[in-house]
Amino acid sequence: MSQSSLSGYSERRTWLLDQVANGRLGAGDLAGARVALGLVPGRHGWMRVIGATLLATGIALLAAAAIFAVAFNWDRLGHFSRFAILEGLLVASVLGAWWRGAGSVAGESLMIAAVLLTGALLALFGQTYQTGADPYSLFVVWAVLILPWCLHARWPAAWLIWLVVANVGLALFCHGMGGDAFFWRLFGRHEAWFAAAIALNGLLVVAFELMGERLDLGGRRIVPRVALLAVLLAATAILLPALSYRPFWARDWQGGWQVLLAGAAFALTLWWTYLGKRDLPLLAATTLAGIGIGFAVFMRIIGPANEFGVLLISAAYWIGLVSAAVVWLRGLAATKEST
Amino acid sequence: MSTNAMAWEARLAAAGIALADVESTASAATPANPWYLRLMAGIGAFIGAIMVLLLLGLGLSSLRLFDSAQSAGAVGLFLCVSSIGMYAFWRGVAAEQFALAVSIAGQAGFAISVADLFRSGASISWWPLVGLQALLWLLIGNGLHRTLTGAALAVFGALSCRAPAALAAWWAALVLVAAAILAAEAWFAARGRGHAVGPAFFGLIAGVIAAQIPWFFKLWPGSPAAGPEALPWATQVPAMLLITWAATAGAPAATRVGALLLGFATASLGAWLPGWIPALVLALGGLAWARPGWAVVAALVLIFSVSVYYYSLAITLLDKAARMALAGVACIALAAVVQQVGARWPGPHSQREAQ
Repeated sequence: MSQSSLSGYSERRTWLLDQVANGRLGAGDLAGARVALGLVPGRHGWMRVIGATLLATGIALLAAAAIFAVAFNWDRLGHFSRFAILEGLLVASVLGAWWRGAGSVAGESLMIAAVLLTGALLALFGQTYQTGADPYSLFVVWAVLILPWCLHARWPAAWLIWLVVANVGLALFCHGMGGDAFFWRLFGRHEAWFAAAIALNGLLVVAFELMGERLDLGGRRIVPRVALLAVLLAATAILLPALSYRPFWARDWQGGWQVLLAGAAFALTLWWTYLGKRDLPLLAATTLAGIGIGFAVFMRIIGPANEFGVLLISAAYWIGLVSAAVVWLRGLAATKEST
Repeated sequence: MSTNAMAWEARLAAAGIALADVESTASAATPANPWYLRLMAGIGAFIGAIMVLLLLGLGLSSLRLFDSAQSAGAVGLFLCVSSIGMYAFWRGVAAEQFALAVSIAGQAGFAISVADLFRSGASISWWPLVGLQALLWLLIGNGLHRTLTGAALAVFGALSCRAPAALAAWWAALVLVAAAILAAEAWFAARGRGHAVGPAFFGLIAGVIAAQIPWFFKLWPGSPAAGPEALPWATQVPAMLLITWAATAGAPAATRVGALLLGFATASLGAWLPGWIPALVLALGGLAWARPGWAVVAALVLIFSVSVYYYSLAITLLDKAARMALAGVACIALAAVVQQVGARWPGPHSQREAQ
């Protein structure tokens, strides 16, 4: 474990406090021990921290001053001036990111700024030229425009922003689309967005898992994991009501397609996290979601929850299932650590 | 002894800090479960506790022991006492979450009886809740529970204050107590209570911040019209001085005095902004007591406090822009000075150099 990694702070701090409690370390030496173990800055470290904080604060104050000044004059600015300001910032961010390079913190921060400024520019365009376009078009165009930057930057944060933008665009699309579209006739309007989210994020998971190495997203697979979590949440949102308090068999036939799609997505997620990548955190989330769905089905079968016996059995069922799942996952974790 | 512990002992020895050769009385720590297992067990136990509590409520209702506000209060106090026992004798994430659910249910029952007793909504109606929170904060040492009760203590106490002076005194006292607790961490650690200091400090500070921000926007129900003009926010400055003094322990006198002046100036600059001084105390606590998460939370609160400046109607946006630009230039100039001063100090300029 790296001595100066943030993840080791808690262990080192806990160990130091234990040494004081055990009498091995004097209480008066605690402050010096924290410096020795790199938990807090030494004398020069403090000067660096104070200097860096003052510098960052100064830059932030200058940026805020610029924003305040622009806000003061916003109503007096013409269309071209407003676009010039935003486009100027966008160009400066892109050039700065290119100059500093994708591997540096400054370069990555400027790239993120460029990604966000693209959305702001599109919003200004929509506000200035009232074309009557649907709101989803802003997010879809935004996602398309920033895609090349995300591919070039190869930084998970940029991809996560792209993921959010794409999903928001999809949600707005589903919300605003008319009921005659084939997709809605197939899947129904009630949980249409969840079904669409499963499709979109599922495709993204496949793409990122297949192309992850080429995209150089790092070994932690943050982006495909977040996309898979979105698939899991959407599938759970369909299955939970459809199998319990709003049963799909009592609704129109479209409910069946939704359950089929969500069930397949859930099963694939379980297979991928257990047998595929053996991703234990996501497997824990999938297991908990499965227990929740199973519990909802169980409650529907045994009757209303305001009866003593029903509540007793439900509590025992829930506690038993969660305990069994924790024991199982603990065994998997131990096996994974030992291999 | 683990490899990490051996390495840490070696680093302490290299820094001239010798560990006494004392037989360790602490039992060997069992390896903690991975975070996702703890999260899963915690969620499962919390929901399970809610079901058990519903069961208990149904059972008591059928026995006519839970059919009035007074009985809710009695049952609530019983549950609070039970949670104290659970925390004292049970171990593990699941047990802690179960006890947390029981405690919350007990506090809710007690609050129902208090609300029924004091229907006028007067200031005195909050005092029993403040008292209960203070007791639970003292008696239950669990980190999460202490954080939550500390925050509730700060908020309920603020709701009980009708006069701005009383409110200012309450917050000043809480921030000072929090700073004193953190400053005395070594004293608590020597008595085996070192791990309780962090949650105790963070809960109180977070509660004060959570109370100050809505107060600034006049969101508290039934409170007098108050804002930065009415509240002596500067009463919290002593807490900033205390934490600065404690953070510079062992440094030369001149450095400590300089740090005190810097702390006083920084606190005074934004003393009228909501959450400013508690956030500064939190930031300094995070930096000097190795809690990076606190510093991040504090930075977010400080940014929010400054953004409130945007909505102040006393001066125009252009004036604000000019003031911020001047302040920005001053900060950058100070940064250059600090860098020059630091470069002239003798000794290793980085941890790597020291090694």
